[in-house]
Amino acid sequence: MTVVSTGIILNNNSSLINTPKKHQPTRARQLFSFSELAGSDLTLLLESDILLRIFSNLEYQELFVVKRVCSRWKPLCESKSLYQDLHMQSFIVNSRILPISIVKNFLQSLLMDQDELDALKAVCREMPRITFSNQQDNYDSVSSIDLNSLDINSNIVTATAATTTTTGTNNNTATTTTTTSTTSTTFLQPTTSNGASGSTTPPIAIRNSIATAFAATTSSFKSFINNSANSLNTSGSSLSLPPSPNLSHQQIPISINNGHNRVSSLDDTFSVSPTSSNGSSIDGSLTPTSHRRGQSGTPLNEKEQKKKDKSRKEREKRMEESLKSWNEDMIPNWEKRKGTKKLRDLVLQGIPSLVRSKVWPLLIGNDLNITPELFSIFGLRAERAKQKSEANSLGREGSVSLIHLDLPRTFPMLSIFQDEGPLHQSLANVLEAYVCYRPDVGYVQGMSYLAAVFLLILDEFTSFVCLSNFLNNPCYMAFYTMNLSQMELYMKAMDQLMALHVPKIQKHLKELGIQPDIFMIDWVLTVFSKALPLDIASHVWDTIFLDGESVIFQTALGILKMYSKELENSDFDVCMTLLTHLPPNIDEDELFQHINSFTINQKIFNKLVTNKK
Amino acid sequence: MSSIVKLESSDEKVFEIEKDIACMSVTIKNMIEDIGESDTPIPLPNVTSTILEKVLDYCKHHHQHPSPQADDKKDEKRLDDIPPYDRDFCKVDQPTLFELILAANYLDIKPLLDVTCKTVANMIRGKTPEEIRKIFNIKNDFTPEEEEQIRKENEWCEDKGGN
Repeated sequence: MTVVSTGIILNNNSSLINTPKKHQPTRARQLFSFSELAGSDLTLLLESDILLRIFSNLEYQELFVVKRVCSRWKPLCESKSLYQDLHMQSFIVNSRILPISIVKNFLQSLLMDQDELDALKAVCREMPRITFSNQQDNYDSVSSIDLNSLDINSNIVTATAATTTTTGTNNNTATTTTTTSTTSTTFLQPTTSNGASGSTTPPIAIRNSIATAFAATTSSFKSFINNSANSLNTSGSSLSLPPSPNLSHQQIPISINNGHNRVSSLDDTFSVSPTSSNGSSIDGSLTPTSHRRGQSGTPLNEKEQKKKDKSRKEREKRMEESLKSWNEDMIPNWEKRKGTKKLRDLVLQGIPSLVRSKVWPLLIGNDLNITPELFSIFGLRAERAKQKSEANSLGREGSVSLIHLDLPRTFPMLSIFQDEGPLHQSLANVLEAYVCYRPDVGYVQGMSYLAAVFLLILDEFTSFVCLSNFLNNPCYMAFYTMNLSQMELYMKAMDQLMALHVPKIQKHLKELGIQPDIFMIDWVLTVFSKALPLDIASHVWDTIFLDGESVIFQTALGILKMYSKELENSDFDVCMTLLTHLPPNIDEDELFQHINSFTINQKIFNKLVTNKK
Repeated sequence: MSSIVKLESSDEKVFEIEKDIACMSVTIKNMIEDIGESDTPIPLPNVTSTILEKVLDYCKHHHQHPSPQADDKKDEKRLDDIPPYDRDFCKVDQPTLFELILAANYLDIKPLLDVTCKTVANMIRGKTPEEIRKIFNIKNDFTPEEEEQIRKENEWCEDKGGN
């Protein structure tokens, strides 16, 4: 079969291998429209590097799913180029789903000693057994692994070339499908043999280009060793930091005013968010079967619609009443009402978004005594840290430069945090100040979501106060400082809570090999703001400010319970997809009924998460 | 005002376009540099007129409205940042989208390639393998054994030792 494909290449397309100059046309004249091929597998017409480009837009978790689509996609999804900006945190979060070869290379590039590796293992739980004989040898063995993947890659290239040529010369669809089988069998061999050096000899040009690409990867891994911030920085080095105005931090009074205006627009923002914050939906018009499980596709029947309308009206009414008692009683008499059952009940049913801007700071408090002066000092320090070289800055202050990379990724659908968006600079200011306030923590991905949620509701300074005080808690600190052994404890606690409250789900997920950390780390780091629609997430936040981090676990249990039917019976794919992409149309009342059906005994919880050693 | 360039699609239709706009395609730019300016149309044997017309529309729009975020932010996994014009531009049927991708790749127009690839990525995102296969008519060519094998690869459970 390999012979067949090689034959075609030699006849029609030898230029692809000999002169990989980019601007050289490599395909034969095309005389027909692809529409004639509608209904057949058009992905076969895409060269591997195009597929790679497509895949490079996907998250690791998505790649993990996508690689099981077909044998051509699998090795592509495992290509090194897709994992270039892998860093410690995403490694820990994703260790179970990363391709083995990537995990191996990453571990080898860390040059860690055995103790550190053990610590890593404790939190990643499952890692391939790799023996570290001698640091010097590591790079050699890395490159020998690479040679294998290189063979695979070159096969892909040749096989694809074969496919394109077939269609290029205007053969019919039938030929295309036969090539599929050729393609697949060619790939599988090198992949499954996994380590045995491939029998095909790759064309030299390709071998070289891949080797060069790999060299680049290695060097970026090397720089990672010094500081995880560094490696991200190198991979995004083409990004220049936009110069921020020096005065930005002296404008606090103005931004407080803005904060009030913002509140009124908040409901608009929120009403957009349930569809948008889940972020999976631009494609609608393109795909015939676009939404999974047909959620948005199937129209609700009338009865259900009526029921929904009714419960929405009830909720609105409840909110109106609650708003009144917040404004007239709770807020003015805060000191007296603090800790009362009435206040508690009001918070539990969700704080009306109009008064969140007042209630959140009251609930969170300011134990850290952060003043506006302090905030502006950190702001100035951040400006300096951006200009200074790494050597002069404290702790992880250098990670301020990472913030700008992440801002546009924060609630991308809301667009207010994008480069030109109205809250872009505020988000940068809050995060930069935090990094300088806690250089030991630095900037960690996920933090931008927390700051963004605060900024949607509060002004800059108050957001900073709330963020700092909120994060000043052992649970978040464990996750944000990546205290591996502590994180492990929290994940174990979750496992035990699941075994206690949703035993069937716990058992089923365990059988599938899905451990709590796969969904929990993201949920904890962003406090559900990424996973749940923003209005529901804010409601969860209300209760967290009241009852502390155990609410996160309670909420997680509630989510699991809500989808117990799926999670107890479905296969691996469905469970993974569900847990990593919660449906955008979650019903708030239903979810909170589930959440409130659990009570986590604070004592037991504390016991679970304190180190027993 | 820059000079006019002629481009010839695979079905031998000739398009006239400003040189500056045409040069958003690195391939065309290189060709013009190689052969010098001349009145003979530049042949683009891989691009049909339907697609070429769309591509030129895209180039015209972006020539008039240069986007502030240049195309050098390549490492970002941002799926939701497709600007409105581009999003509408990509609202086409699958064959056209794929043809656009190949054209963008061949003509070396990076922003167009990026945006079309992102659109496909969005179609993939959040779906199960079976759903993805359905969308793209991909045949599941894994044998049950191979599927099992893939599953195992990620189980590589090593005993955690101790606790």
